[in-house]
Amino acid sequence: MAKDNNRFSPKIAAFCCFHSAYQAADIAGAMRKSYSDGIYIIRVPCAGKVEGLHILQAFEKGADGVLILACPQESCHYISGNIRAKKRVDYVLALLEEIGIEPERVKSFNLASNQALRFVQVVSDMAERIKDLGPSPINYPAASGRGM
Amino acid sequence: MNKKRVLVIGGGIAGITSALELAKNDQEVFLIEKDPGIGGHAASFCCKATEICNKCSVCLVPEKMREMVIHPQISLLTTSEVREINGEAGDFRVKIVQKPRFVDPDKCTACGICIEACPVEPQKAINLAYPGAVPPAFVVDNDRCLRFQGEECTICQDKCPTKAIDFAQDSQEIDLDVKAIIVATGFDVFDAREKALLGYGKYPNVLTGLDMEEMLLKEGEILLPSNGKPPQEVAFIQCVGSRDEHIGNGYCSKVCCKYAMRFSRSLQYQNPEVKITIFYMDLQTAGKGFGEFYEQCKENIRFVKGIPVEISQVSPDQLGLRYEDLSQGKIVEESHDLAVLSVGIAPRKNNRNLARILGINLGDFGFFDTLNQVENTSTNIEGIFIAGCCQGPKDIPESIAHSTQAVLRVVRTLT
Amino acid sequence: MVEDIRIGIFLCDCGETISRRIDLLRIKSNLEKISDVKYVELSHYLCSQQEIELMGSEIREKGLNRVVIGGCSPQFCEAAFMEAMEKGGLNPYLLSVANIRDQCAWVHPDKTKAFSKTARQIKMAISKTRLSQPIEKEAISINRDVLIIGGGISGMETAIELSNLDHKVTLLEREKGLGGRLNQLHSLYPLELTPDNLLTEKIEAINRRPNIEVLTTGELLKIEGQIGNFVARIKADDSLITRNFGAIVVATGCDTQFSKERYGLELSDNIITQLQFEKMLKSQEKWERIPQKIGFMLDISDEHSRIPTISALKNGLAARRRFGSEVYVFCKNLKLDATGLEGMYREARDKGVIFFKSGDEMPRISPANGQINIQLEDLYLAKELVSLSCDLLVVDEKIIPQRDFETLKSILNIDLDSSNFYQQPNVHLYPVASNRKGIFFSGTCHADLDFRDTLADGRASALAVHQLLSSDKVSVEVERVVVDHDKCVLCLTCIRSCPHHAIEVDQEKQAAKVIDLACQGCGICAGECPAKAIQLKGYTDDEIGAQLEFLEEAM
Repeated sequence: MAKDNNRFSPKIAAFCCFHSAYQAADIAGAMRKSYSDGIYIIRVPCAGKVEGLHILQAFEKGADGVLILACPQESCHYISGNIRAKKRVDYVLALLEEIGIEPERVKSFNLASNQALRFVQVVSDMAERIKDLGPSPINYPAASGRGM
Repeated sequence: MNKKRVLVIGGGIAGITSALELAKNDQEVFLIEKDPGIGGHAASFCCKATEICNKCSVCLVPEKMREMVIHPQISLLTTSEVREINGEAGDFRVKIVQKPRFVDPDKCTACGICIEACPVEPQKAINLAYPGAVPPAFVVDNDRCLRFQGEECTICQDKCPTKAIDFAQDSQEIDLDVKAIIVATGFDVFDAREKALLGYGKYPNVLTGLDMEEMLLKEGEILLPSNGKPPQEVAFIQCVGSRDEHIGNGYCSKVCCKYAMRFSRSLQYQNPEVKITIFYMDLQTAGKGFGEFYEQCKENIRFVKGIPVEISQVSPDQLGLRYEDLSQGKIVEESHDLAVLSVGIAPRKNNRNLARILGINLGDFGFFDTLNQVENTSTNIEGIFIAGCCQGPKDIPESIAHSTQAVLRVVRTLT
Repeated sequence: MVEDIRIGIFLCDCGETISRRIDLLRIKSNLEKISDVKYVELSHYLCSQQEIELMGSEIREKGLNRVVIGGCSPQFCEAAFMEAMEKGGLNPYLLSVANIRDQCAWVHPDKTKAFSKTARQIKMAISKTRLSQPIEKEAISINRDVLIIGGGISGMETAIELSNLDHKVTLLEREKGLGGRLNQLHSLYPLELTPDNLLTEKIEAINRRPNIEVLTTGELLKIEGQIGNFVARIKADDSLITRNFGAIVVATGCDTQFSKERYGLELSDNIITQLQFEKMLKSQEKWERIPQKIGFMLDISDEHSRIPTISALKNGLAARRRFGSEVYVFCKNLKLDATGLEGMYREARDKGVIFFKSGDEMPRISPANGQINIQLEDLYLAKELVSLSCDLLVVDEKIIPQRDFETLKSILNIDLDSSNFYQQPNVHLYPVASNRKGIFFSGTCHADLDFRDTLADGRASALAVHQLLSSDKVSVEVERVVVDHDKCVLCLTCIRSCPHHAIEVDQEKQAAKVIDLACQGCGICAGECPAKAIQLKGYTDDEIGAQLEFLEEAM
């Protein structure tokens, strides 16, 4: 497994629910907290909009990791969006195993719109985790030590 | 004929809700706030969600703040207070005094150049009032800024790229013509130093509920002030400043039992091994869904009926709490590393002054009085209404609900 | 015909806060190299009124048909830039904002990395905007009339307030007369008025208002349609009525239940519920015998509600005043968290009501010889055993949902919480609203509220309804969610998964149809559709896919 962390900058697609994580990210900005520049925020109106398709597409296009950030349980502005998101993520995790992508590369979290510090914690932990895992096996099959 | 506006006094959650609801009902609103920024107390509270939302409703405050500042029908005047009013319902003439804010919120882009330039250490004398402040304009900290210590420092003013800082600013008087007034001036947090035996201000590891909120918001976790480590044995002491004949606060502050339990869940999420004790008189668990929440709390929080009388410092990182163990009828002392005083909601010291200016009555305990206990937004002066905690203790959802009632009155009687 | 895309990019410096970290001039020159980018501008303060006007003119002059902003968070600026689009003659939904300040310049200290990320963020926004589709707005006529289901105190209060705000109200009540629980209560806290006088006052207020129609002995049979245009089938007094409403308020109140399981206590002549005691106090008939010692036992059926405490205090005081009986209150915790309750508690103590507090072990209750013996470990006497007997024991009840909550739930398609009261769990976000736009709650049908809170709730609902139906025309985004009729197989997944029940079947087109006025734009339907027949504009699969292009090399 290539642990060439010095040159490997993980690219992580972070699907952020506009009512929670997106606002938390903005407050983190106002607080001038720093986190990995490999985190790219994709705004969605509700985590319930994010599908397995988008998560897989992210890997297809070169993502090393995917985050889905939703409102806390019982606080979804659209009642059940965060629950549906979780179900889809679980489904995708099973698929990922089959195609040889480590399921640890996809994670979902709940946070509220004013949990700026939790946002920074979550994305920073994810960046570290992906750095340890190395680039996505789709991008660099040789580097991950697996054939494709 | 100019559409007359409604004046809302106070920019906390009640004032913000009042202004928003009025605007949504086609009213033009002036919102005045004595501080440089809006949000009141609730803006410096922290979300207490774990994986599950704990319904503290703190997240509603920034959302409503942001909605309010961009609303075209609401004019915001900060660092402003009412000096005098004349007239009557439908035609109040109000004199406002606006103290200098020094930083123009329309020009400040929160770029942070002034923070870097400020010579005051370790904590700068200019910053956002709190993380996520709305409007996101900086504020000069009068306690720390050198200018208020007699020095002629203009470093931040010189460096500001948008020329948003102007120390030459003076107070100004503003005259407003309004048809109705909603008073939403909120509350004071009970000063725990009044209960001297509990050691607040003396012992570093005695905190109030408000200190906990601010620590959680700014640091993301609760750490012992004495050694920076996570607490292992936490005691919450309820009814500090409430239901207390000795200090004249013979009422329940309503929010403290709930916030103590929500903090407890946060602490347990942070550290599942933490031991928590809540010392209480009568546990208040009414509210939609709160009963179930309490049943979950009961599983791993120790509830003790009886309020500790005294806190002492046993060692630098240990506190001793003295209370009567009712089951044995004995005085016991037990140690905890962190004591949280669940301080209550007290009427603002300035209520008397504002009541005099507006001509409205003070009620029990120094909160503003209403015509009757059921119609609890109308005052003795027609056209002046009250909303939120300035009428009596409320949690955030209740403040919001109370404000909508005041708005209904205004819309009904004065349009 | 493929549209000739002409993109304009407006970069904002936010008063130099962005350019201190990111070389915006270099970004600008890189962007100008993109073939369909026809105009790039750099500004210090893009959201100022001046610049908004200027942006409008530039859009027109340069013939731009897509706009990308690189600046602060869309939370703060999106509305202003959408205004600029309209000034420029462009549909405001053909705009994307790249958050290069709060989510880039402010959080990435390394200038090289911040630069590269900014470039990609803007590229993401450009790729998305190329695929954006316009969304038109239309003014739809709506009905401003309101149906209130339930003629108790909260329903009546909501009706009166709505009538004052110029709405026609139909107040539908199941029983023969209005008033609900007011008919059963002897007194109200905090009020000098008796429930009878209050009821008379409210009924008079309703009769004086010609725009309130009262239907008694009635029930709701069926509801069709959505917010702004509900069609209700109602049975009232044996006649069938069909009415149209813009909104519905559920104010059906609650039931009460004595939970005897905890004690095995059976109700009897001298063990009665609080409601029964209210009826006794209220009735004008002479009582068979005056109770000498009355015990109020709390925390049996419900340890959390404030209502049993309020009942015990006010009725205990009433019994002392009226009969001079000895009054005892047994409880674990007194619920005093409302204005004036602590005062009433102290008054009760001053007037001789005696309070016993127990810990987790509840008192032992045993009926014997027409008396009720109570034995408890008194918490304040170091658990000393205290025995006394009462000739009347009044026990608390739990507030439970109305017996036919299921019926109304299915008719209206509204959510219940885990205790079967109405309302979905995110209630702190929507105090009086249901999961369906246009359906609201008022009173104890959705929460355990005391009298004062119930009235407040009724008024809050009235205001919420009024805001929704303030004018008879409402502006709505048309077809924000698009259903592809060719792909839709009517599997009904979207209809079942929409939390707001905003999707119906279009029989003509044999496809799902999203009702624009009821849609909240969450995209859950689009996410669930197995045939990919639904797309939410602004977040279509193509638009999301396009944003993922940041992953490829850029600049």
